Amino acid sequence: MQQAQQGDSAAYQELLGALVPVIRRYLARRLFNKNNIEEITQEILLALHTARHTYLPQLPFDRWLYSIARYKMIDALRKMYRHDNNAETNIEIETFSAISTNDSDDGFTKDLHQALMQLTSKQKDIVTLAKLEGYTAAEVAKKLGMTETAVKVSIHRSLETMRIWLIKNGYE
Amino acid sequence: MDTNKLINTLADNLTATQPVKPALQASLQWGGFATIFLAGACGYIGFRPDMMEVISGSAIMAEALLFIMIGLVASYVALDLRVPQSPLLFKNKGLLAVASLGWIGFIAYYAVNALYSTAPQEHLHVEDLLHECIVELVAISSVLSVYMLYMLKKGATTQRLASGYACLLACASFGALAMRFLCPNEEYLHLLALHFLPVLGLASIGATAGKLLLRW
Repeated sequence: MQQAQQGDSAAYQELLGALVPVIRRYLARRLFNKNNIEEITQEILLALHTARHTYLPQLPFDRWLYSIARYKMIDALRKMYRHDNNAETNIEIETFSAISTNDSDDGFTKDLHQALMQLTSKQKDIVTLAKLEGYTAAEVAKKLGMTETAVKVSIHRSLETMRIWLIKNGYE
Repeated sequence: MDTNKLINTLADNLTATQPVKPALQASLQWGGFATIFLAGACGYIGFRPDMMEVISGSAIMAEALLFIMIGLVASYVALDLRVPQSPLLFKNKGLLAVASLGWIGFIAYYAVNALYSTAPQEHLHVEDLLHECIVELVAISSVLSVYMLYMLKKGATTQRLASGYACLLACASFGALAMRFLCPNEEYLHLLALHFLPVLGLASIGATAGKLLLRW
């Protein structure tokens, strides 16, 4: 690393090459989803490059490496989590628009209706109004004489119930 | 992009770099800047009228020494944390705890005195949040924190919250030191509410700001 700080690109290339399996092992032990390992490894390599001037030869190298690896791993997971949340919302929108337009596969539509049947009658009303008929939470709250927060909570719980039912019936 | 290709690209773009300065050296550099800036700011705003008596009195000078020590310790921690190798635990956490406890003890002493003092105290109101003492303290601390932020951004802070807290604790400690040379009011309640408590308030803001500003 000291040679890399002095601009020796051959030594630097060798060092990064040797670090890749170390970083992969580090991530493999900590990540549940193994598909992200390569992407986060590259993020960490970029971070090591950006922060190469912060390496102090008098302090241990592995502490420098793992400190940056941990920081970038958490950062990358946070970004992915945010992205996944948006994706979940999009799936939800697509799913319900599929029911309402009847464009989708009949089997899946039937299963979605079955999932809807798992809800209480009040939950069914709320989900139908909010997700099939397109009313906002505030409008649903006004129609059913509830608070807006209660409607949002109910939608969240209903979707969770439906999701669990769909997973139990073979959907992922 | 393929990882091997990325390694080749990084190696091709490699340039020689100077390692960052060790924390002690950087901290003394910041302390030097802070001292010069405080002297200039106090000279510009105007020292308190009884400045000569203050310098000869041991109590205020002991306070000033304490503020300088706390400020330098906190700045050392902030600047040490810009190197990923620096451990937060033990050394830096310990130093930060000592600096914070120094202020908490100091504030507790003034709070007890403000409660039990028989001397007349001025009444404080909500509008005093914009009292000139607080405004000057914040202004001085802000200038010092801009310079320290510049130094921190040269590094790679992985403990952003602790570093931000330490940064503003250091800057506000030096700000409080300047205020002792600017404001002639010696009432316990005034010093407590308008000089010392804002230091901890600023440090708390620093913790939040550090999370945002020290991202890299």
